[in-house]
Amino acid sequence: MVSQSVIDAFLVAAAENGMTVHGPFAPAEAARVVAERAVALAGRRRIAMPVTDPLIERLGLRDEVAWAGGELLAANDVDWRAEIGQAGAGVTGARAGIAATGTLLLPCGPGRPRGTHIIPPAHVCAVRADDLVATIEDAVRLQSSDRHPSNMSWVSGPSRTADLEMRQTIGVHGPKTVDVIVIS
Amino acid sequence: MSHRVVTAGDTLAERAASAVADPDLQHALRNLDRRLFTSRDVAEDFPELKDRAAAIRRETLADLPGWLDRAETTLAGLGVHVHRAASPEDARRIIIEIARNEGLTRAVKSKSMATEEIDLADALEDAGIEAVETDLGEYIVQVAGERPSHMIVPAIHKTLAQVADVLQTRADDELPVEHEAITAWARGHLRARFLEADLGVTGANFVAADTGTIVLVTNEGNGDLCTIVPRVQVAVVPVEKVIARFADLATLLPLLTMSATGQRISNYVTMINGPRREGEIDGPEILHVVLLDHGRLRLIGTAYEDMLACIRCGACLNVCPVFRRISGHAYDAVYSGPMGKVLTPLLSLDGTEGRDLPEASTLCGACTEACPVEIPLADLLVRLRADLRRPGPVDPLPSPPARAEPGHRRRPGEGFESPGLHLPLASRPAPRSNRRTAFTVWASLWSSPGGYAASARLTRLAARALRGRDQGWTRRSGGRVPALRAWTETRDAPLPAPQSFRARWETRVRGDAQW
Repeated sequence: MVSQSVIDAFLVAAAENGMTVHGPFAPAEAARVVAERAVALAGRRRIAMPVTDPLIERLGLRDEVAWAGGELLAANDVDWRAEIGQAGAGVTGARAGIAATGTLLLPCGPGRPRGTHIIPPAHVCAVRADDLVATIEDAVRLQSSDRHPSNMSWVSGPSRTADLEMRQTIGVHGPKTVDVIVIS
Repeated sequence: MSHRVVTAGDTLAERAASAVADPDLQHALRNLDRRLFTSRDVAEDFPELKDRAAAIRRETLADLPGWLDRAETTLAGLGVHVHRAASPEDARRIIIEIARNEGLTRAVKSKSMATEEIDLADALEDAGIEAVETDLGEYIVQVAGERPSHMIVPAIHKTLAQVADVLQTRADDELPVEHEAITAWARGHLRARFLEADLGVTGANFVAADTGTIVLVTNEGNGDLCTIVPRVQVAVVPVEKVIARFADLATLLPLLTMSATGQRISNYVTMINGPRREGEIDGPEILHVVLLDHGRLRLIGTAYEDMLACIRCGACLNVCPVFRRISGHAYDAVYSGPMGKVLTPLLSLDGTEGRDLPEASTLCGACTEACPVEIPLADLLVRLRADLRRPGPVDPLPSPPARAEPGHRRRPGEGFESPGLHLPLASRPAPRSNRRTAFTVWASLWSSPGGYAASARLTRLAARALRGRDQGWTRRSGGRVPALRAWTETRDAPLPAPQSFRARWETRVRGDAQW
């Protein structure tokens, strides 16, 4: 069990990073919020989703998004590579989250493409409260206990740049918004 | 292709002067103030983190050749093609060969000082491969035909209006002088480049030898994009970026981002473990790592070894009183600021580059204090000033292995072998130095009590004769002596007291003194 203070710290740090945080919610409620956010953010464009992400499978998120009126771009679609550039949102589950920094750990794998969280203009991510760790050190240790995926992305907020007169500007290459839904 | 230097001039002093006289540049540089307080603001445990990081870096450097072998083995085990490049020429040749063999024509690049060092973007363009920088700041300087002026904020030397002017050359519609609008335009413009690219070129912030993990740190997410779409990825990795253990990232990652931008962690940290695997639908099918030596390994075991601990955070640039006034272009080198002043002459294997850079320092030590891996930059600058008095490249003499741990096999840092590299070991004649003569005379004069007393009397007389109305004396006299003018234009010295300490001491010993 993760302590309440770790969950609280994660929610604060993620918000400070410019993410929109939701929850913690029970699984059914969380699934509904993920779908709602994804559909709202994608507009009329497709919603990219992996097909082997354990959390997305457990929450039944593809069905949930379809019921909410979203059009899916699933990672096993033959037109994924051609269509991902036009998708309106990407939905992922996180392997873990870091409370100290408000960071999401997103591994890739078969059926779990690297581009889901970074190519579309909006990213919606579910993370289990039980998968939150306190520090970067804990995350590094956790990652060392797994088999390293071919690509692991740590995401701590929307894409930003300070290259113009050192002023923070959001949404330069990756998503302009990141929504995190914490599952209790 | 030569790069346009915003602050023109043949010498460092001339370039510095034109930098100080450029009002736009001085206005833009004020934005650097935002980076004055970074690490200390975000973490109480920063001092502890810093000590740990400094120790980790030294431990790896003590056997860097060994860790390089280890990294090569683990990378190869993941299916990565590893190349060793002795020089920038070797690195360019290797990468262009990869591109030609694979028939690649469109490259996207994420920001990397190593690729600047080997001038890769231009080399690719010359070879007929389109190479687009994707970091916003880096893209701006690429379009302007310039070099980055700061390793973390490449376009720090430009005001927003100047940025809009530069990018207007690539935009169809008129670009408003406005942060969000310019960012949005760049997103759309560069997105098209990402989606059609077949080669992704990156550097690496770290490569873990035990796992073969390549780590890229960005805020924009362009590092991720460069490693997702293109079929082939090449990472250019200077040898000192290799760290011993994946676990070391727990220390080095937060330390880097805190020191670079004041963030507890940057928005995107990408950890790459080999190419795309069976069943995966994106990521590079082919991944190459080019390990770049370029004179680094010969520094292992010498007094300059510490310089290889550098993690390229830019903290020393942000606090340097010289950099903050003249910006990066005045250095006319890939690496600028305090770390650039040390690294540039050390990397110059023919001894021609950056010889005057170590002089551009007040030795105030702000850089040493700011350095998160505790590199004694000011000390190294002093040592370099001495070593560069000799003609030719810096000859780093071996120093006793102070930090070698028991059981740790220290190997001499032998450089990589190069197929066709002939180092023109320049034997330039030593510039005849007036300074040397002056110091010789001074030394002999002050070696005897009589000589010392005579020089003091002489100075006292001269000072009194030359004093001005409301000022000391060196400024006025300096104006008359052309050789001293450069020094005395902005400096003065107070008049000496009417009587020297020694004279007063003598009268006191005789017993008739009035203090």
